[in-house]
Amino acid sequence: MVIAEAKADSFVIIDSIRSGRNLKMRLYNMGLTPGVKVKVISNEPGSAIVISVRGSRLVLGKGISEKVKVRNLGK
Amino acid sequence: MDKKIKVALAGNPNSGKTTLFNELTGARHYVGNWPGVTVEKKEGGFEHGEENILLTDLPGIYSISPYTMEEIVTRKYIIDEKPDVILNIVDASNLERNLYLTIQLIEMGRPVVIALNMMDIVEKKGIGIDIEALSKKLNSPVIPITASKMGKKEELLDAVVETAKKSGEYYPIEVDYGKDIEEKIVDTHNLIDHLACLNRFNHRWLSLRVIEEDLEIMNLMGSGQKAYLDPENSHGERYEELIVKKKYEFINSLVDKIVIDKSRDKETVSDKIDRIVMNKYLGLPIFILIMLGVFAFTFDVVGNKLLNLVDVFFSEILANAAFEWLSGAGVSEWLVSLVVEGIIGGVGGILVFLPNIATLFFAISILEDSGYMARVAFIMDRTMRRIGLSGKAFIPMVLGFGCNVPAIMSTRTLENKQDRMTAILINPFISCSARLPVYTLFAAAFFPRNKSMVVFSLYFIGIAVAVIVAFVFKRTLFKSEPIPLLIELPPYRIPTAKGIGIHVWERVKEFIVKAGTLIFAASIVIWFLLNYNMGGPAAFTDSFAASVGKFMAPIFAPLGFGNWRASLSLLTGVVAKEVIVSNMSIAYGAGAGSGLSLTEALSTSFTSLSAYSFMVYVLLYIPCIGVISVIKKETGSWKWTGFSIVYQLTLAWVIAFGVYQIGSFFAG
Repeated sequence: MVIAEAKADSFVIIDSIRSGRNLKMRLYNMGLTPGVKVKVISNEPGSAIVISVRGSRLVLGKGISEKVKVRNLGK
Repeated sequence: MDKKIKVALAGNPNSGKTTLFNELTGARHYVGNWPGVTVEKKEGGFEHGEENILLTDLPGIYSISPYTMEEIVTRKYIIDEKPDVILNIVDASNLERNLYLTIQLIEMGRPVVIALNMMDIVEKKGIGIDIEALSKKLNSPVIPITASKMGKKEELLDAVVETAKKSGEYYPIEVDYGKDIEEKIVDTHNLIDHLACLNRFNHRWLSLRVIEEDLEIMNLMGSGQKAYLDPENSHGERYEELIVKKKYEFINSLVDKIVIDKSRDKETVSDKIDRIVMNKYLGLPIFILIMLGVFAFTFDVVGNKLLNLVDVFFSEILANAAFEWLSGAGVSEWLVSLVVEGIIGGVGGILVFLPNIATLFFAISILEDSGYMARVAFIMDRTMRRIGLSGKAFIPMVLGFGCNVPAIMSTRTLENKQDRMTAILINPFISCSARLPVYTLFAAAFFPRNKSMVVFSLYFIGIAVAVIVAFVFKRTLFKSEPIPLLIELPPYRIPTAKGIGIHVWERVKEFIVKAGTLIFAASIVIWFLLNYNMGGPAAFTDSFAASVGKFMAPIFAPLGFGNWRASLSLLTGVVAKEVIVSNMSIAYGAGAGSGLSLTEALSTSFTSLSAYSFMVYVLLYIPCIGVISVIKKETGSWKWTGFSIVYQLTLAWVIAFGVYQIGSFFAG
């Protein structure tokens, strides 16, 4: 699944990022690397998704959240 | 000591960098806007003990890779300027992500001193950090601080000075990247070692950058070097990605050893606030209420009360005193007129708006410093996407209410060129504080009962025009998919009085300097143009200025203000929008001694409809010189700068024409 489909308050593990080099490396540099555990803070339809990764809160727009493949860990 | 210690201040966005900069440089600092090529840097000089320290505030970044403009600038500064020490501010409450930059800075080879900020928050959360162990692991001094309450300033500066003195003995720690990459580093090093032009770099860092296929760095080495490279290992994994992972692994094992209790996914107070202010249904209404609150606060509650006090001071007390004193001293009549009508009338006519402007900036800096601005990007994202921009493009629009110059500079945070160009070209429609004096003056004169509504309608027209123009531009001139939103939400912070104070003071100072130089000079020139013609002293109506104004007036006749004074003031308003008011107060002979107030004088040549049309025109027409030059700087193109002038002039004329003609039709 992609992180755009993850439910609010659930935990996921980043699997891979399917995007061009530039965006991928920016996300990596902000700590969103494969294997890292992420908590989904909010995910409302139509809005960007808010996640907690390595202690910081990031907003990912739809164009990004649909490119981040994750494994679901549940709540 | 004769030699200055060069210190570069680097850190993540929202790590408290600006607060620390202000604390360290203190009241004695000179903050100059760097004429930097791309991103603004600030410099401040101060003394510590016997040492002179020159501190440069670099833009907030997450890494040293070349993926954003800010990163490129920071890196270039560290490479070219070779600071004696890099002062790295690290947010202790977000250690893992912040140390990622720290490791990269250390790898560049300049000595690093770490200021561990937000220690108060960390302690409150009950998290323990073994500072001594951290310092040892990074081979760099680590000083715990709380930037907003600097008790450790001396200790931090002592560490900076000491590190600078011992910079010759400094060796950076090395992250172990594993056999595969370490071998690659050795290979790459052997390939590039002979290149003399690379001596200014740390070679291990350079080798890493080459392995990461960093084009900026590879270009420095000249062409041909690319042939040596293989950006992927035998498993088809990109080295660049592996290196980031290894760095984070290194940090993880470090953080595990030095931090007790990682409670990072627990719901924080900020999360709780965000549940409300970023709520799907409540977010937008709350934002609109906040903005209405800002304007009510600026214009009604605080601004206008103070405005009246300052107005009385200039137009009555100071003008009359100057008039009596100068006349009494036997100064010739023309000089008395120049001082009282030209200078006090022109400059004073503008300084009365200081309270409005100060309160507006006060409110905007609270929005910025509290962390709310990042939420605005989230809240507006949905709306902005319909236009074709990301929510981040809304931040420059909010800043534009203060001044379009910094607002246009802030478009640098937008990732793609098309979005950025659109954001730059629409920004002048956002009504800045310099246009406020015009509205306040005209609204008070012609719409005394609906003052606030009239002013608010102008702000609304400005936003509406900006939105429509952006919509059109994104579908014609700057076609591209909107860049998806990627932004960090910093924890909310209560803004410090000092932080806000410095921010407001910088703006107020700028405004006073502008009044004392540009507007002062413009006032004198306007006074002469109004009082002389080729034949010497003349009445206003026969002066140079009147001839120019009369020449231009027919252009504005269809808009309802085809009188020479209005035309002239629009022309001079290009210097700075405030000059429109200065010009009018001189041209209508208000200020002192005339008996007729400016408000009364205006009603002789405007109707309420033509006054409204005039305000709409002032809102939309040509940007002031400051904005024109920043558009040139940011777009790097005279063509687009010229375009922005021409299309704004045209659009302003058409819309004001529409307002006046439709209004006249209904008025009958």
